[in-house]
Amino acid sequence: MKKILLALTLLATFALFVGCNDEQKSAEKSKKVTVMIYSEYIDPEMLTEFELKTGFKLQLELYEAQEEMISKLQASGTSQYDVIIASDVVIQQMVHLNLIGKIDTNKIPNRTNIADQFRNPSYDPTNDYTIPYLWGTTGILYRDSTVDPMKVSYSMLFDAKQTKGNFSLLEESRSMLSMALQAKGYDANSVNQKEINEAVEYILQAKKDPHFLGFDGSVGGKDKVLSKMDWAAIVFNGEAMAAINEDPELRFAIPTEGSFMWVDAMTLSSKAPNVEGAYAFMNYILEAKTGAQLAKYINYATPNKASLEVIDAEFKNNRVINPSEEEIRRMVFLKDPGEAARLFDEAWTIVKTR
Amino acid sequence: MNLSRFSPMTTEVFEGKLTTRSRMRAFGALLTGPGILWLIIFLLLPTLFLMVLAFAQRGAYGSINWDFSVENLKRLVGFSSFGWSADNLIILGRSLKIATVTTILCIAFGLPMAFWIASHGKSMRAFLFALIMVPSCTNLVIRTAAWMLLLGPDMFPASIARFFGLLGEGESLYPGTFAVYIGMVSSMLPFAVLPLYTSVERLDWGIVEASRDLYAGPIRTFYHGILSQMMPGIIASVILTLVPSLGMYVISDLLGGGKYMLIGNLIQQQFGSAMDWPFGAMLGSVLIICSVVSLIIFQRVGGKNFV
Repeated sequence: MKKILLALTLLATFALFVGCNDEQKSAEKSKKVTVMIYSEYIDPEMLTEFELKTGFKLQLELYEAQEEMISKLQASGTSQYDVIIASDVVIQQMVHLNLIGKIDTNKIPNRTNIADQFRNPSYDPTNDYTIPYLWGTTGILYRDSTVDPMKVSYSMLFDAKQTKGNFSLLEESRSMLSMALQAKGYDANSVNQKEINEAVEYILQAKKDPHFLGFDGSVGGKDKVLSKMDWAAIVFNGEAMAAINEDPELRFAIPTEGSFMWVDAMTLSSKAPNVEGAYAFMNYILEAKTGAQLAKYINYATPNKASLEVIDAEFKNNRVINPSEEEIRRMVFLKDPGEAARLFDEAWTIVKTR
Repeated sequence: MNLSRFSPMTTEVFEGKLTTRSRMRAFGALLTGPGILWLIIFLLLPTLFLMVLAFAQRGAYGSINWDFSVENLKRLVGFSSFGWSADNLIILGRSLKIATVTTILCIAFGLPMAFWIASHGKSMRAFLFALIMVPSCTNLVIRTAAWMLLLGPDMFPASIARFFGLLGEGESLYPGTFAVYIGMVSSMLPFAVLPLYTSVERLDWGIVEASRDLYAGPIRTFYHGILSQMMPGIIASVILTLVPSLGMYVISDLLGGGKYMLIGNLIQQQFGSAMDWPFGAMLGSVLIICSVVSLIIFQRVGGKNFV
């Protein structure tokens, strides 16, 4: 009996020790800015530079997927974070779930640097909730230097007569279905059941092609094309750039039928403990030099027109990173499907089952 | 003795100590209490919550609407926005098939392995066990990625298969069904071998001798003399492989190319990109029920045939 009591007491003391760890943290709070961000999505040098410039210590909380980020915020609240980096598709959802709050743009003098195409975007028509961080495109990475990237169509993957080798499609329900909708000539943001059904049939028909290797994420698709398992795959432009740097035979195309572009934006947490620090961070990212440094480090395009002035010509004229006016016109932003979410989910289940 | 039932203060002898029944009960409660509490808090309550959540609805933007209905159950059996389709049931059937085949393969490979390990001396056994267990120390995803490399088109397994004409030029062993089963069996085999080994060690070889004495052939001897004795171990192996492989989807995604969905993918999709927790909870509950039912069936059928 005594031994058991002793063991229990020990356990209880141990539990007490574990319990009172957070006490010291609150003291530093006013001096630090906590940013919730994709892993490997910032140049580590910028952390020290930001602290030197503003006096705020930059702390990163990493996540790997948008859903993971949202469920983390829903479960543990938003009061631990100041700035949250989120993709355009989830902005409306986060506003509805009260995860992000309105930004006072007067506190961010550098906002004048934002390029025109990122003002009043469809995911934030009033510019109240977002400041763009980086942006990118989605297209087809393929191994054939004789095909002009400007003339590539989705039939390169979806028409069994035109596929020249193995290919993978994108493992992401909303994106892949919207691309199939565009390939069929419909709006990428369509919530029409008949049109979605046609998109499903279109993907299912591609699945029957013996060249079809499967569904992959952007990185997986890039790896398969690089290792020559795939002849073509759907990837984001940053991955395409990395692949082309390794193997100059590869090409990247925005299909003529259209595709979608995306923006990762900085948002203000609805219960940000350090609002002033959050604005300082947003302003810092919008500086011409920082925007250029960030874009070059991550290999994605900057929404900062002042940065384009200071960035080197090679990067600026790289068509994979900074697409032409004509290609930009082909692309749209994806909207949150709202009530139609179930339609997309069920459509994807059919795609992945048959 | 009969009297003690009516008078709790009667002293009894327990492990050489003089004690009363109520004291023994209190002591027993102290010992089992933490375990039972643990099970209630971390197993029973969450499972009950899951089953209640299964009847709620998804609100717009991924919130949960607490109006109870059987909508999710209807959706699961196939009443979708696109009219009736059996997709969810096909997914469930496909997961059951992969889990069953994996389990059968694991037992088939695990049995000879268990006998082989048991036939060695003590130190050699420890070494062989280490060989089986050490790979499990690596993360599952890394092990699976290793298979992706190994089964690639330029590696020796593909060349061997090509030499025997099993594989065409330019094709590779992965992604495909073969690769999925390689991955599944290799990750589940350790869990199958351990309980099998324990029951091999406890075998009463006298029964085998007796069966030989009575002129039973090798197959009969194995069936009635060995397999029937090992039944508890086999049941434990089946539980340890069948249940985890029912929910497994990482391996089939990586090695199968993600062409087809398993129940694990579907559940992950509901809690992930679709943000439809109630439907995910319904799928999860059905998966729990499926694994319990298949275990009961196995125990009934298997038990009757062998003993």
